[in-house]
Amino acid sequence: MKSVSRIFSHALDLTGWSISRRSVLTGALATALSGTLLGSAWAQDDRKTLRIVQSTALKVVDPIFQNAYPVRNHGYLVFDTLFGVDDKYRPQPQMVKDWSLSDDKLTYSFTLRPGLKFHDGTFVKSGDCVASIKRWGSRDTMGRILMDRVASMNVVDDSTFTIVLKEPYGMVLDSIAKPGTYVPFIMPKRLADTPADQQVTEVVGSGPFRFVAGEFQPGVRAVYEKFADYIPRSEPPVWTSGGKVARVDRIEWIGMPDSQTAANALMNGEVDFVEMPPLDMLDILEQTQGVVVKDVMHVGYNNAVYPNWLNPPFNNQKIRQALLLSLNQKDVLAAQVGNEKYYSECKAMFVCGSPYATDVGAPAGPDIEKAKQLLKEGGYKGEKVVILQASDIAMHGAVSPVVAQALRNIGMNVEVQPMDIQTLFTRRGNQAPIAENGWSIYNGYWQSVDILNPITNVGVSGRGKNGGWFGWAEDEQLVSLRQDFIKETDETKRKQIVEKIQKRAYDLVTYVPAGMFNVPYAYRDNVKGLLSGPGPVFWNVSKD
Amino acid sequence: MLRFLIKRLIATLPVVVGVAIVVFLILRLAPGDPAAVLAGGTATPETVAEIRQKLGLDAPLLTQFFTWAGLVLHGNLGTSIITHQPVWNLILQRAEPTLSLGATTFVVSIVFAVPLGVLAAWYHQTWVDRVVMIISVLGFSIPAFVVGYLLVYLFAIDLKWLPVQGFANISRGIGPFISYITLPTITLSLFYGALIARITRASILEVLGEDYIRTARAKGLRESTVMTRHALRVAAGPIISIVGIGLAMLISGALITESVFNLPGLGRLTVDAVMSRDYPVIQGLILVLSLVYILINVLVDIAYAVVDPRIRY
Repeated sequence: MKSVSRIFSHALDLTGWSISRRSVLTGALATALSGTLLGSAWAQDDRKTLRIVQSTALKVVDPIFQNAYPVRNHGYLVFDTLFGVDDKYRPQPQMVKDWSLSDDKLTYSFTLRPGLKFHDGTFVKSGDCVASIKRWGSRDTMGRILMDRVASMNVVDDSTFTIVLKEPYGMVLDSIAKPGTYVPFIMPKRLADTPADQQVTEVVGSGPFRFVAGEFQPGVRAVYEKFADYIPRSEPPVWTSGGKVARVDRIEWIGMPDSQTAANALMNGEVDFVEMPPLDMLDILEQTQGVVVKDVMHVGYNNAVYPNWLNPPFNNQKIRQALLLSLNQKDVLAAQVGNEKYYSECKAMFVCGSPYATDVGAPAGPDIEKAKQLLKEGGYKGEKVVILQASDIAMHGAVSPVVAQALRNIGMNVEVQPMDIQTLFTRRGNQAPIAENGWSIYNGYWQSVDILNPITNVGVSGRGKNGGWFGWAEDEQLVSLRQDFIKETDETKRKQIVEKIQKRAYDLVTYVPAGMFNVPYAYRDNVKGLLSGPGPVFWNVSKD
Repeated sequence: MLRFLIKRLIATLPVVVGVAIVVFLILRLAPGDPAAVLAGGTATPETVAEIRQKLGLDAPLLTQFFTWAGLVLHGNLGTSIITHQPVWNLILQRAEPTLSLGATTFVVSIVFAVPLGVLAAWYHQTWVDRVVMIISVLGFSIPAFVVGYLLVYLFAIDLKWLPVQGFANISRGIGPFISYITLPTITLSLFYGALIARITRASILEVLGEDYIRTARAKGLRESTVMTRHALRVAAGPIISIVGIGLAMLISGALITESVFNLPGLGRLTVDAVMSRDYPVIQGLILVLSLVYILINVLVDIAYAVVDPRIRY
């Protein structure tokens, strides 16, 4: 003990300090006290401020320029839409008070609710709406299809405008109500006149929350304040429709690239809400006092495996069919999600439970023997199958090895190439052969609202290298059926067309649906009023 | 000394130009496309192509380089492709957390590691030496993210003494500042301190075998005086070297520490910029950091002359 004391004394000599027993005790007390005082520095007891962590931090603030889900979610806080959708995917008036359709089904007339204001204090006018629809229509797939059919958009007066069509089109309201990216948000004309391929950096909307530009740090923090002049609708909020009542004064969106850190911060009460908690921590979070883990969205995501039609072996229909029959959705989902509570098999290309959900054309299940037979019939010669794997995103990366093993099971020569997601986004655009950095398969997932019909589900467009989705599936019949769907205004006939499209897409294997999953929200138990819908929207949310 | 400084600063110019060219080329040759990032994961190929054209990323490499070099020569690091904010602004916004973490880690490491290294040498081949060496081997070997998560679990989640993540500017008060910076500082100091303690021990051991130390002891000087005035001063050269090199390593260590503790510093800005292929931000950051490295080296050279009268420039 004496030697320890001597060493300690030597150590203090070296630092030039001296110490006494009393100063040690005083120091210990001071440390303990400061620990208590410091504790209040991060405790979140402010009931009017909601601290949220979304899947990624906000960097781009223009939701018409970038279509990432977090940018869309930011858009819903700041901007309003002419129409919202309810939980049955039906368009419901939002900024619009009344609308009508002429008898010839060519002219839509819209009247805005009175008193709507932008965050810069100006009133929302019909000219703002026309300019915003034009900008969105030059960017969004559904918007472009709508614009192709628009003869003119006319400002009648400050609160009324019309959309005049060249031919009847049954999806006008579905288009301007769409909750998937890009959402047709309304912004002032002076901003909406900016070309869509140019980013608008001034954020002025007419939504329930105002963006606080002075506190914005891209990738770190975005702050929103309740917009006092917002006039919510009187109907109860359902999805993106109904009354958008801001019940907190301030929302702080904190960027946290590490999902483990986000989960820890939630457990410690430093944040109130985490949009996508790490799936392997759900059990721990569920057992943590004061934390709720719940599937609030009820929308979910849909896995899709895209074969490259340009390169052997998947330029061969029979071999693509072998791929379809080799893959077991359960295996994919078990590896990707793990907890059965949060996933389900789904063969509908237009989302299970949606108006266009159907199993037509889908195989009953995996059939390894038949897949092997198809491989043989297709004349597979052992060509290398290159699978692109986004190894930095667990939800993406977990699927690739399962697909690889399924293909190995039927005797294919497979190589999985790991990379970060941004490299994958670039690589997937390469149409070159395998020897020139080309690829055979990549996988992704879509939020359900983005693939609800044959217009938005790019996996069945059949446009090949002429504007088709990565994988470049090409088929004239699919292109023609899609046009039939666009032109058809009768809902029953539309459903019949959807069935034909899905049957054809499964037969050709434009892509392989690989199951549906939900990611529950994790939040503190004093957070109330979270709404189901396409993403986290924070109107109606309060803190007890 | 002044001539030396001027010569050193002039000599840095080719280094900086070389760094700029290499970084520019590596970024352009590496896979990835900022246009694809900007458009978003579900954007169609046409949208990506439109953005690429708009950003000038389809221009010849030389044109892109000279455009950027022209801006840099005017003191302008360009504008972020992703956020549309000036790169200088982004760097300045993020500098404080990194500088704070660097400063606290530097102070904590020196205050603890140098005395521990001296003690280990002083009590060479005793249990003190072994304990110090075990701590330094562990500090050097355990990855920062493991240490970070363990500290978070213990001090934040279990004991609730400190926050899990975030940063408080010193303008918010010393209490919040310390509460947020403590765990990242300990995490980074373990590595940095371990390095300094090992080098201190080795340097002192070498010096303790010298004749003049024996003479000092024979003169009847106190052991602490022998250590601080004679041994430590001569052994300071290698220690200063490692402190300098370690400062450069601190910046790379901050990449991980800032992610684990969600510190919005330059480390996270670098990672974000690399992940989103934000070329102007990466180029600007590397240019600024390379200047910092050079400055640190110059300061180390000056420190040599201060502690060792034999060194003159």
